[in-house]
Amino acid sequence: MNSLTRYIIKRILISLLVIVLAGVFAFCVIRFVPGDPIRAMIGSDADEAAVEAARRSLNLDKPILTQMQLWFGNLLKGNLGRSLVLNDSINNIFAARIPTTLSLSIPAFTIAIIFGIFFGTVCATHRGSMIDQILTVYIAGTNGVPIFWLAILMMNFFGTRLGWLPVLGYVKPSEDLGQWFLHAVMPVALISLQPLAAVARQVRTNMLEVIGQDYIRTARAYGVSETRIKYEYALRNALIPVITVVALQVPTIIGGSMLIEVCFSIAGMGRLIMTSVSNTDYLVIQALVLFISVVVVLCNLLLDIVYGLIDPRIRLSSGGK
Amino acid sequence: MPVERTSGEKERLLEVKDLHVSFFTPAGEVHAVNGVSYHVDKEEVVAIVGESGCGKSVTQMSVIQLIQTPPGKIMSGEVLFEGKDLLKLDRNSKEMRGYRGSEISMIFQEPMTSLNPIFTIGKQMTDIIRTHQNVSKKEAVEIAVKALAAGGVSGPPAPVKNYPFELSGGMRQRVLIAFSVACHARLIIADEPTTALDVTTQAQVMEVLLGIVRTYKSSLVVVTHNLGLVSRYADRIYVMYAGRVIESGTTEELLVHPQHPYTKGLLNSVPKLDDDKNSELEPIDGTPPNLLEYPEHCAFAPRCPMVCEQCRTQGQPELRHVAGHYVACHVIGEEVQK
Amino acid sequence: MTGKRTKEQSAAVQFIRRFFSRGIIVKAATAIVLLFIIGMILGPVITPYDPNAINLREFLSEPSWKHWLGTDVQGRDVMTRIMYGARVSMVACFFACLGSAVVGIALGLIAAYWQGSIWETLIMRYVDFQMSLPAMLITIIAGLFLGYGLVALIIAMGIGYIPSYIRLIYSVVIQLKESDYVVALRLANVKSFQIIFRHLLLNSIPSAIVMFAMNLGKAVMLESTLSFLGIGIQAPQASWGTMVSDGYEYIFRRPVLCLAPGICITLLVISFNIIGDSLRDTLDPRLRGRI
Repeated sequence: MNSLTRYIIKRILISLLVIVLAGVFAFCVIRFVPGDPIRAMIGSDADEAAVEAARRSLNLDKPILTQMQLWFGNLLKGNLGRSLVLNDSINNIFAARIPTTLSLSIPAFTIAIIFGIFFGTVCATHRGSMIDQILTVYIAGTNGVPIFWLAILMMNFFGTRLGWLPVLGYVKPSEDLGQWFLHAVMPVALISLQPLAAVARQVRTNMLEVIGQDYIRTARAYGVSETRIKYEYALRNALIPVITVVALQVPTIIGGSMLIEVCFSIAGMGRLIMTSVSNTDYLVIQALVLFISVVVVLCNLLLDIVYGLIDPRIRLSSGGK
Repeated sequence: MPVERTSGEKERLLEVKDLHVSFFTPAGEVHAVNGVSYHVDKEEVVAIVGESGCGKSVTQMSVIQLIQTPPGKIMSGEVLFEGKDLLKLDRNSKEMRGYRGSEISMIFQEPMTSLNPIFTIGKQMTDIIRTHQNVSKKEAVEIAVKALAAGGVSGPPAPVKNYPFELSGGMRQRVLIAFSVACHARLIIADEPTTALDVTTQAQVMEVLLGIVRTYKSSLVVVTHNLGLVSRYADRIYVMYAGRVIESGTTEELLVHPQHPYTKGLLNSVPKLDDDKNSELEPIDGTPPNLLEYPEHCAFAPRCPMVCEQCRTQGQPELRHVAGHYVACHVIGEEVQK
Repeated sequence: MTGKRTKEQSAAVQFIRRFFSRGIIVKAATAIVLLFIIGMILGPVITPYDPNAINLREFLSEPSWKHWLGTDVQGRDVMTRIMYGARVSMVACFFACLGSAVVGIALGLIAAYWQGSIWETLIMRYVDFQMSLPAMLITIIAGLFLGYGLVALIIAMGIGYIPSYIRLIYSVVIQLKESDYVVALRLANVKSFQIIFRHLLLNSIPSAIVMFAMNLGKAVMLESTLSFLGIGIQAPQASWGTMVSDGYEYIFRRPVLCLAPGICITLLVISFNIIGDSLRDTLDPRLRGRI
């Protein structure tokens, strides 16, 4: 078994452990929350019989171990349960909203990576120039400007004042691509803002560090052109650690979606989180915690594997002297 | 052993004339190289010796314009390679890059970090080969394999598909030597090629270097502070101090009859096999001068056992022909003139 | 000459000099933070207004000498509300960060020192789990369990930053453990307790301080986002987030209602970030790129 396989298996095992941990925490939500969660979900004026029925349907009357078994058993079958508040299976609830969130977060993620690498490289290769300074200010500023504030300013400016873009709501791309685009411009721009800055920052730091390395000096000493050194060698060396930063942006993008979907009244997973909290829909909340955790862990696993494939030191390391 | 030579005219390969290089730091201008002149003939092995900070590495890097500008700057001087002044070429021009690695190649001190960790040896070599020669990928690989063999890194199989971290320090250094072979370098500059290696490996690497120099009829400049190395392998030696050459001559002349007090001090501070067991090593008193404030007079004066009033006032001593080699010292020069 | 003078300058003075060496930006950032702190402490003393006092006769008034930033729709003085909002934000965030630092450092030390034990696995995998969730989600869920109120908010926000300290201290201590320095201590039979506290902990402090400054910025951002959404500090209490959500309606008529709190948040967070950057460069430039 070579070291890459060992590396991947180790990562998979760790990911599984984290997912199980997430499952346990999700399991605990409804069982440890203060107050009477059942009443909170079906209404505080419900009669005793209804409450008892609900309790039984959620297996809350059974011993804890049995509950755990049933909980994990259901999860393995892909059954996330049923919301008592929205009166629908959670799978359906998610399925209705996931595409919406994806149609915004995936473009945002892509933009953040592509432009982040681009800006970071420009900053590093044109150090000290006007562009570098402008981008540096942008990167610093993005970390400080509250996104919700920016959101309402943009909505006001581009939407209400200039009338260029619609302010609220969402249109599916399958229904009307043009309208979808107009509705998506501001949300995607806002969601991608912080991840873009984070990636750019990391790329710039890495590139600057790499350019000073001895092996770059060797390439230069043997006549390789500056352009080639920057873009073929230094960039490749610098980008490998950037994968880690990219992985860290996944929760950020999810968090950004939460906020933006609420601001723009878009019915996606993000807004579902907020509405579930205000409706105290605990079953949806715990399903969401688990779901989000699994998504992020899987993304991290994927990126870790990519990292292992790209960096020969991991691929071959006990391949030895 | 120094390379055997037919007597008579030697053709000049490299001639450095009055080179001045400074670094502009927040603390001020550091005068790293202050009027260095030397030459290297064809098929010669020349050693440049001096302590850390004397400017020997900076001089070499300036020859191929590899100094980081900023903060460094080549202030003045000429670098004539076969008659052509390289300093007149633009740093990043195709012409200058054509010299780098191909005519003049430089091997650095740190083999552990001088190779790119994420590319195979083969890729790094073929890239460099194809920068200088118009060959196909396949041909480039063949050249690389032959060069690696010349460098004593043969395999089998040849490590073209290996990554640097899979090789030991000595092997990596030999790979770097193979780079210069692959590019048919006519002048190889080895900057402290053995400092980072253990003694046995040092000998191996030097043998490889010299084998290549002999086979391909190139010249070699070895920059080092290791006098032992120098005595075995060099034809001529230049001794540098505080950015200037203060003594130069053939190896035998210099080592047997050193003139400059600094050279004498250097030789005294190195243990020799025939030393008396109980004798002590004599380090040279004092510390090297601060290159931020370069003195007008002889830079060695504060530490010199032969110093006199004139030394402190007369200005920089020039190299004068004294007893078979060149020395830059007011005191010795005067004695000769008398 | 100059050498002697620098040696005589105390470590504190040297630290301050290095810290400000980056230039005017750091000085500006420190000035801004100090300004807010002063405003926060002196505010309630200087202002003649009650931040919650409704005075409908003076609603939506323009900025004037009487009301420096005008009043909102309920006649409350905006400047006063800004200062009170500063209090809430900074106090809540400071204690949240402090608490999370203490807990996080402790857990990080434990995980790193007893590497390979069940504790390490539990702690680090929990960190993986928590860091997979967005900070806002964690705080909101913690809020479900903790209820309402300022203390609950502080704890809920604090929980969110614990993993960042755990990971940081863990990586610092793991590296330190392998260093010759610690091996030498062990060989000299220094007790574990001492090793942990005097050596490992002390060496982790600089990184922790940098992380603290960075987290302060994030916490201010988080708190204002939560109160904007109506989750954290709730109206009618003055918090910059609630001020933005209140003021949005009147963005045409009286833009200052919305702009002022937003600008304050931006300035404060950016200042904390700059200070954090400069602290990191001062304390250990090797950390650049890692924090």
